[in-house]
Amino acid sequence: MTTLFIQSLLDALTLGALYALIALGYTMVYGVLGFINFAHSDVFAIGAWTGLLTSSLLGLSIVMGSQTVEPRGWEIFLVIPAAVLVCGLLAWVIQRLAYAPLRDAPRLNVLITAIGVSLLLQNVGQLPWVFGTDPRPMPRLIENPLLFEIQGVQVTLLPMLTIVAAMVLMVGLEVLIFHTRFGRAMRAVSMNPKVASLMGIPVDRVIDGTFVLGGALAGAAGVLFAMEYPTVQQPASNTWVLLGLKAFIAAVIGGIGNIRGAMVGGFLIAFLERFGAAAQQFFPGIISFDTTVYRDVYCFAILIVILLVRPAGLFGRSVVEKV
Amino acid sequence: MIRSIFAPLMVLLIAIGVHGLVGRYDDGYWINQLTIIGIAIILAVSLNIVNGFTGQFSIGHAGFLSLGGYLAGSLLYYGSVMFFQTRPEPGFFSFTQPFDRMDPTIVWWGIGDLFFLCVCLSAGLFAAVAGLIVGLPSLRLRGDYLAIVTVGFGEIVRILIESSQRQVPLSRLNRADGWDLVTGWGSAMGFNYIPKFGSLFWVYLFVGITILTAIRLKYSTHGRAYLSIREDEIAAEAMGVRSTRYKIQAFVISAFFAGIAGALTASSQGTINATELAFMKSLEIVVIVVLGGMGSVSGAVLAAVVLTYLPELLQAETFARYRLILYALVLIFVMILRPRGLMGTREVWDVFRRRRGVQG
Amino acid sequence: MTAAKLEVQNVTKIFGGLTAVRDFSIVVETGQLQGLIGPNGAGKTTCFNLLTGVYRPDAGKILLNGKRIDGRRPSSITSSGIARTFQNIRLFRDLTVLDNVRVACHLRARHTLVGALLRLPNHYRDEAHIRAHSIRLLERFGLLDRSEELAGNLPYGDQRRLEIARALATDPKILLLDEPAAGMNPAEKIALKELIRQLLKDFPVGILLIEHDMDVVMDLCDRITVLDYGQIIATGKPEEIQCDEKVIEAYLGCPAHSVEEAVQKDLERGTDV
Repeated sequence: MTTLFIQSLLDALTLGALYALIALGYTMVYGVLGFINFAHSDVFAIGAWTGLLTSSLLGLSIVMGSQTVEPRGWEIFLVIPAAVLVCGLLAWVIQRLAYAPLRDAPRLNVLITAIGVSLLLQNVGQLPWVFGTDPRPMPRLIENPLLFEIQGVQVTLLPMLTIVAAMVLMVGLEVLIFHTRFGRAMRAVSMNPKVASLMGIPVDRVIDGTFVLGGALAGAAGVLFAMEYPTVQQPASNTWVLLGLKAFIAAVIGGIGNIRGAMVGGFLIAFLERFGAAAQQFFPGIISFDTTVYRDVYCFAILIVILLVRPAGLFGRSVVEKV
Repeated sequence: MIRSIFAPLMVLLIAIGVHGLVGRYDDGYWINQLTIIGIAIILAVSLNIVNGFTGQFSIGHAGFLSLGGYLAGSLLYYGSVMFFQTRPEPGFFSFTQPFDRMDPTIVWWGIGDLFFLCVCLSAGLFAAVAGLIVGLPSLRLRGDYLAIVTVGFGEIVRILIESSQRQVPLSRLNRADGWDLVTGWGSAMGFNYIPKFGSLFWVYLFVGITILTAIRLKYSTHGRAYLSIREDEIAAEAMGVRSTRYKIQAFVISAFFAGIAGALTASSQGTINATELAFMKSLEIVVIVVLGGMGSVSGAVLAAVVLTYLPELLQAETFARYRLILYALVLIFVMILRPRGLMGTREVWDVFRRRRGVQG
Repeated sequence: MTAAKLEVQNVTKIFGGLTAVRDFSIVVETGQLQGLIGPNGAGKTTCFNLLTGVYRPDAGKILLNGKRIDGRRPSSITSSGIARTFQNIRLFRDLTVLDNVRVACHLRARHTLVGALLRLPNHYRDEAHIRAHSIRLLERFGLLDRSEELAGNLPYGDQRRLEIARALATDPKILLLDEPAAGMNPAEKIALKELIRQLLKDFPVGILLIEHDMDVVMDLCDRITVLDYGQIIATGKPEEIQCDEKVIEAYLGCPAHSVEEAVQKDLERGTDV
């Protein structure tokens, strides 16, 4: 029982850190522009792909189920920045080409455009001469030695690294938003873009910057995700669409537009998912159905509950529309 | 009085006409194509009532389609045994194949046809109740929350159906099994061997009813209230329009027809699979609505016909790969260039009327 | 038609730490035309939002004919008899002029959704009635020849008038007009004044008017309430308000007598030169 608990806890923390990283991208864009950037989860997928492709450029690839070259340890310091760069750039391009022309359009239009961009990225990626639809194994970038063991649960380096890396990125973002000029400009734009531009804040550049930031975080999350769950597949299946949706739910639960809320929401969703899935094992006599099947259902159920009880999310303030 | 029943009569006549003519002269190809197109029309026009009229954004229409389809499937598959001990034979109006394969002793109208009508209506009602449950919490909130909740709803429906029990073979079924087996939906394998009743008559009858409902709504006090919510919810409230109530009303009507479309899908193809009715299916319907025009009934019909038949024209295999990419580009460009879709809120006849007006 | 009475008693609204409106009280009755004025940001529009249910008051009561209406939804308040126009015009831009008014008439419709879908006789009866009523209103406001145009394409002055027509279509007992003369040229303003005067004669309503144009306010209103920083600083007849020390101070930022002295000094200096 304790073993199961600690194992679930560890899984939930790792997954939660990743959800939180993706959720941040959703919440930042919602904060400044007020729409759901549906394409964000696809930027995240591109991050995973960049990780895979740069690793094979560096000689790390998997042939016939075994890795050709053992990782030398420094690759990760090239792979993650590459993914960050590519995804930041991609997010910028999306913002410029698809969203910027719709700055003054109704939000519904931007939302539909975002769905269009998401659909485009997904399906272009599925073309045989891009990524194809087959799953590809992600090579190991670092060794994964055993760190310690508690109650029979083996804690290895990789999940710990994921959690630490995600934490570092989140703290970095927190500092950036609350303690720098750019962050102040971002918060100003999110409160009122018109007034912000009157105060001399370059609104367009701030919005671009927000997208780049969100994209970069998604890129890092993509590589970390692929390292932790080492299969990369262009979202032909619903798995990756779901992943993005769950991260988005995390952002909503935390209070969309609220940075800290997104982090808390990410962990909350992951806990719910992992412990919900293991519920049958925790209560073997009481729950007779297979709870793992329904783990995605829990996330959507909590979303509906939160929307009913606290529509603005746990940390969000409800905004009264100006008349 | 005459003007109230003239249009419904026309709908009935057209449905009979399509069924009779196509069934008489076709070898099976057009029956299939027209069925698919008809179902797409029902889906697009009904989604347009929410997305186009009230300006809310639902992207879980396939969830209601699934619900209706699976309910209809289980009623037709298990229910026919429970009610009739055997499959009721379809009469002339529910005959889904070209007429030259028809048994000459076929009845014009049998108990099976009545049974199927009831199945369709129950599928619609079932989906409508689901719509009410989904709509109540989310429609109080801003439009984009509905988008997430409906996506979530669609996924929940899919997961629940995929985790359902295996289908019970008909040979092992008997009346005594009662309702216990009705949840045997064949998990992710899809629900198969559903009795076929979904003929062109039924498809186009419901196409007609859907279009008629949408148009009559649009040109009525209730429909104008929907449109005013889309235009400006705060102003609409200030004019005494109970916005939440109307949004839920529109959402429930829309879900009702999606449920019927599900019943028609299940009973015309003989099979239904929730895995194929996931998020992507919902998006396809959204693309049709956006392309046709948010709020334009005739636009939605045209777009449904074109986007459903286009892949067929452009050789399915090569086109299939690029189809979704094309859809994506359509969404993006239409939104940037024509924010309310190609037709906007106007109908085909408005365009002609205006042109005539300018000349005269 | 019996006379209606809107009573607002000590209504307060707080946004975060800011008290937008404090202890606001006013009584408007059928046939009256009252003005609500004050410098920018004084809380006038917030008052309207409180009266129409867009915001919920934090304290105080709003009564219409003795019945409490505060805390109800905007649509329910409208159906009990308070209608408004918006400062930043909020027409249904993509609907025709006629449809804008018809939407507002929808409270008159008695038929149900089923009636509309089956086109039962009561649907046709209601629709004909609504159409006739809307056309009468549009005619009254001189907008009939534009009835098939999209509201968003109307010239500014017409949009303002359409907003009033639309509000009147809900059959209000109390009509709240939020800066109806904003952005109008002098000729349009004179026409608007005439229109509002006429409204009061033709319709059984009481009007509460927010307006920055002093000409319009002083000419039209029987009684004026002045807000500053969310509080009532004066009420009274136009001529009383015009020479009220506090009001002049609120508008000019300094006591009136100092202005007079300054003007006096200027004049004296002028005579010197």
